[in-house]
Amino acid sequence: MLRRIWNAILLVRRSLQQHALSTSITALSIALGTGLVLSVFSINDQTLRAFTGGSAGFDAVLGARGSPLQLVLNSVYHLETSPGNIPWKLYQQVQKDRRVKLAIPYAVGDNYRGFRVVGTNEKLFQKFEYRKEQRFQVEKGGRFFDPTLREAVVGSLVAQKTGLQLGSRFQPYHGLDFIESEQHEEEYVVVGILSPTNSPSDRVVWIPIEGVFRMSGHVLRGSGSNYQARPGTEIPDEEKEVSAVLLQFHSPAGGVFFDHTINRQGKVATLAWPVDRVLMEFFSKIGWIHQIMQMMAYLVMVVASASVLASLYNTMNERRREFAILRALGARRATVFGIIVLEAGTIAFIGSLLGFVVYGVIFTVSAEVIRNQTGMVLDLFAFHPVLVLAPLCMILLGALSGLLPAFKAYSTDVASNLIPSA
Amino acid sequence: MKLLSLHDLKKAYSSPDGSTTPIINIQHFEMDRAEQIALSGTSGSGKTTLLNLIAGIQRPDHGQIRIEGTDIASLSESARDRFRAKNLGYVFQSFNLLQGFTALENVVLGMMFGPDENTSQAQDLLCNLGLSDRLHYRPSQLSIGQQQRVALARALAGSPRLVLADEPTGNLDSRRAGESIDLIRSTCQERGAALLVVSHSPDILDRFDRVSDLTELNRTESSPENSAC
Repeated sequence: MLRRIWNAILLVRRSLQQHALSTSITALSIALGTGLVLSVFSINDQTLRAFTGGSAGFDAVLGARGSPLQLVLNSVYHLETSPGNIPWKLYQQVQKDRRVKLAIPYAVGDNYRGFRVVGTNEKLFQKFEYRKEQRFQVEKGGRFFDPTLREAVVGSLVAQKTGLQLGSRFQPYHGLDFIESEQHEEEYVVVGILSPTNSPSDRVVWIPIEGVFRMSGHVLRGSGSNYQARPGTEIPDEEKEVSAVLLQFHSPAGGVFFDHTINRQGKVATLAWPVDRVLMEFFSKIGWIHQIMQMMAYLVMVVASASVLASLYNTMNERRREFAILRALGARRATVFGIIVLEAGTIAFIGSLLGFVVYGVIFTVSAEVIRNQTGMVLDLFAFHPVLVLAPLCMILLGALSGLLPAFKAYSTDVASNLIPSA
Repeated sequence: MKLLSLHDLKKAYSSPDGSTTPIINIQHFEMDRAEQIALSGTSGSGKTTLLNLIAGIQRPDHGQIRIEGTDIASLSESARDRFRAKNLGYVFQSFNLLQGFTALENVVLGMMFGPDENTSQAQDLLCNLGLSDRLHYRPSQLSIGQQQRVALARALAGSPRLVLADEPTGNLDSRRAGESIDLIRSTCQERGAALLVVSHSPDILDRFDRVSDLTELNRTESSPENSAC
């Protein structure tokens, strides 16, 4: 039995070598199909988990009246525009509530070369865990900012992309989009570079929240009328405002309470709670995109397996004599049939292996784009069942595609095909 | 027991117009172990068909083909395939070597579907036939004579009891054809294999002690009504 399998492999190997060009093209089309399926499933799964898997570190986001999704994307993932501001008083009120474990204010509105400058307080570094039992760390030689000074702590991706280092001085730009002419006068010095967190925080420049209040050209409307901070003068609390407050509750009951008081009874603010559910709803709404991508990937797989069929079927006429010779030497019909199915399966196997290369390329490029856009880091080597199932299905589909050509080989008439054609 | 015995063997082909054309009608034919026989016959007399019937590649319409007592005509197709792989060697006029395989691999193919596969034996065969320096050459890299020797080695590779050769020298000039048939005969003799050669070349037929004319065999053994066809 083992010898028969080995012989079949030898025959298949020789045949593939003889038809190297068509074998390569077919294997490449299979590689493309397999790679696409692997990428679509794996990237989608990791993206979904990155956004909804609780990695945000917050239970809820409190912000201006509007879309909870926009609030979450803007505050937690530093995407999207800000839906507006809420009064500082509301932050103070929530912060003091016994149900709240941690409340961190964010003030956004500036950027440095496209990366957001976010004003916050030192609690972000002292108490906030961006993942369970993981707090922000600064790279060697750095420290967190002094809230009273114009100091900045820079996310790892920002440092990597902009070249900001410890001691670097920079002036933020107004707005969330980088416009060179919109540079602020204030100069900040980098006092810390955050160790990579593989989270959206890697894409942020953190400065004291007071710095945002006092940034030239910024107008505060906490009291309803315009207020511009003056140097050397304390800003009254009622004039201050924040873009969002990120919250952690002692228990889910806190979320239920605030959801009720802020979302159902209040008219000033919106509470996006729980953060994961808000994002999950968002992904559910755009789930059709993933479904279309899945369908396209499946289609490419089917087309690829059809190419196995076409490629083998086209060679059947020229190989009829080869099959007749094998039969004359004692090969049974079933043997010839098996050789063709094995050949189809082998092409699919080679294609599937190459599919991992395609997957690697697509994944790496996509992961880089996602990292640049969101700060989320995807792991190329993270296991997903599709990494096993897709190649297996592809090999099975390939082998099935070999059935028709195999049947043609099976039906070859020996006597009439032993004579060379003219 | 005779090595080969044909009894009341008939084979006819269907024409496109629906009529049948008898091609083989042999009442009786026998061959001893290790015997060497040449079958002569004009073109279209059914020489190749007869060899295909004996090899089990085609099935007769009627009659028996006994090889070492086994009536292969009564065997199933896969049993005939197994029988052929184990007991018969076949040298084709056009050699029918597989182009993608080396000389050595072509010879190994001759054993692949039989009971034993022995690469060193295949190698020895090729060396004995003067191809020791051509083991890994593809058929297209070999001369016609060398290709024929590879085909002979392949036919003998499975240690068959009977070697069938269909116009084995048809592609060679008369001098080389003579040398070649001598080589086939002597190699079969050394290995104890019987040899049944079909040829229409007088030079080849003259080298055999026993020559049967297939046209004659068909005619004398045929019934009058079939002869009339």
